[in-house]
Amino acid sequence: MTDLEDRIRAALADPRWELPGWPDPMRRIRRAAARQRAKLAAATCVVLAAVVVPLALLPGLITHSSRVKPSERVSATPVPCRPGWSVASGAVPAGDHQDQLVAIAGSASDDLWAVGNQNQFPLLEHWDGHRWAYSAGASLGGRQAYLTSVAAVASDDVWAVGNYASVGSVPPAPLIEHWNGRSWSLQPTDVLARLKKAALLQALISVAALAPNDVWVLGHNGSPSDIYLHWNGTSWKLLRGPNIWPHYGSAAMQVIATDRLGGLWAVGGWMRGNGEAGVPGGGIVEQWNGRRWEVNRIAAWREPLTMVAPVAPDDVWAIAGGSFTTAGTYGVSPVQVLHWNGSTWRVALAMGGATSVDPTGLVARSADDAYVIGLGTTPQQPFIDHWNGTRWRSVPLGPAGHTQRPGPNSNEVSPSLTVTADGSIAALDAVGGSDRANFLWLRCHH
Amino acid sequence: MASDEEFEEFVAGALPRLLRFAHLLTGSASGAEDLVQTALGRSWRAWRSGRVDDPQAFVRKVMVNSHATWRRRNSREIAVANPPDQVIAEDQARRVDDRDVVCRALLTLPPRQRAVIVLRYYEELSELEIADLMGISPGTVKSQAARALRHLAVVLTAGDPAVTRPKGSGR
Repeated sequence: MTDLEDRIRAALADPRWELPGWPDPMRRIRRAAARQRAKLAAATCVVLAAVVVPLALLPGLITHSSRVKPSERVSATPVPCRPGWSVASGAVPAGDHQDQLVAIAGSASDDLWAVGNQNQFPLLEHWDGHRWAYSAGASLGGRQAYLTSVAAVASDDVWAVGNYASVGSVPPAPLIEHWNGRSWSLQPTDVLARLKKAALLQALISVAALAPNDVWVLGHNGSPSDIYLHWNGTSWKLLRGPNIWPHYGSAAMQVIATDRLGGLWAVGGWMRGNGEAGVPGGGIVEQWNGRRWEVNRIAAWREPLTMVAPVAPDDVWAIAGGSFTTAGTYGVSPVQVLHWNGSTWRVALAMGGATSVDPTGLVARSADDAYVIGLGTTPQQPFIDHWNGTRWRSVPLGPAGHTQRPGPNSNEVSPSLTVTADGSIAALDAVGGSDRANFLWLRCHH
Repeated sequence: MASDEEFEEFVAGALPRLLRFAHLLTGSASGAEDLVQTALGRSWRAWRSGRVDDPQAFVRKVMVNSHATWRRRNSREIAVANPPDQVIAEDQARRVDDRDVVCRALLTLPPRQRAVIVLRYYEELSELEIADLMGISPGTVKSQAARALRHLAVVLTAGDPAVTRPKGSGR
């Protein structure tokens, strides 16, 4: 028996059982916790939904639930850009638990890219108006990586950014991929080699693309200021964000975006103290003045800003509070939608505390047309709220089964939102796990 | 007292070991990730409401006890250890070869027996500790362990379990 016990110990100690770490464990844990809360509350609703959805497929029986309208029925091959949710077929591998699509962008409602990671490798899926299909990314020589953001200039000019995972002593490294209409290729990021000192904290988190020769990437490198990368059509240039140390603390910009006039905006927050020892301070807005990034001091806010949707210099939407990510992710309360009129912020919508709501996307086409998407946590379900200039309205999401997220084992992934290059609105709620599905919602530009 | 920062710190330090432990329990990488994610989510909620002093023990408990139910729900899951890509050369150390065989044999155990074995020989817990963790009597721990060892002895003398075992072991 002793011999057997030794053999068991040796087998259990085998390195094969080791698994790679997670890029952002707390975010994942928060999602899981939110889902569990929702499941407790919704245990009975899930049973109901299982009954309602098949019924909803039969026209005539749908009067069952006021939430289910004919236009929101599950369809295997949705008509391109029919308003409402569509469950997109394809690109759903049998039994995969690990798909995480975190961002969406595209040139039109029938040309959308969703990116993220699958089992620690980059995941790229394309929507052609009828179905999702996998797209092979650039070859990374087997290295693990994940994508965090995507932006499209045109159908043959799409950018995706992310990071290689750290493996053992190999530090994480920035990753940029470009789609030329036929294939994805790897972009050189050796410009970042200059930042070697802080290589361990390098992370590319957001990309904004204005033109084929004007692409911006926001990244963290662990120094008190963030980094910006600019593509001028032929090469990458590295720029440091404004140094706010020691006046505020260290900057943690969250997202970069462009307004309709080509102005560039980045929002985020600052930390008291550096790195993981820090605590979230207030919100920062940075703008590109044509020569360098500078802090817009008037636009500072009490809490960190986590999302931005600029329309024009005097028409900018933002979200304060929510998931604020630096070395870790902080849930910052209160969560508020803000609107900037050129001289002051106004609270446009008070959403509650970070434990009860998690906004994950924001887009705007004007001061009278803004969308915010996210997850409510009690019970947990995706939502889209729309501002029409007069009031906020929740956009009804169908099918009914989806409003309670499916599956006991589904991976929690943030719903994401985009305005396509042609002005359509697209929202994606990609649910992982055994009930993996891409729920897509479109509002076409006409 | 139960601050988010403390929990984050705990997660940062404990995650590799938790993932490994879950991998041992489930036998599949994706199953392990799901299990850890679920257990940490539950632990975090408990932590925030101040019900946890020892997160490590709490998470382990949640993992072991939700694992058995998971397996029932998840009939699709098939317990197969990563099969070696190449045939292990005969002249290679017997030890490596044996470890592979034992790993496969472990995966033929039913979930709760496997949990007992992992807790005993990997976590090095006493029978009493295992009993407490799994919510069963020390006598049951003993009998489960004995049954598991008997099963392993049989499987291992019968040869490579991958050959003798009928498809999967999702009992």
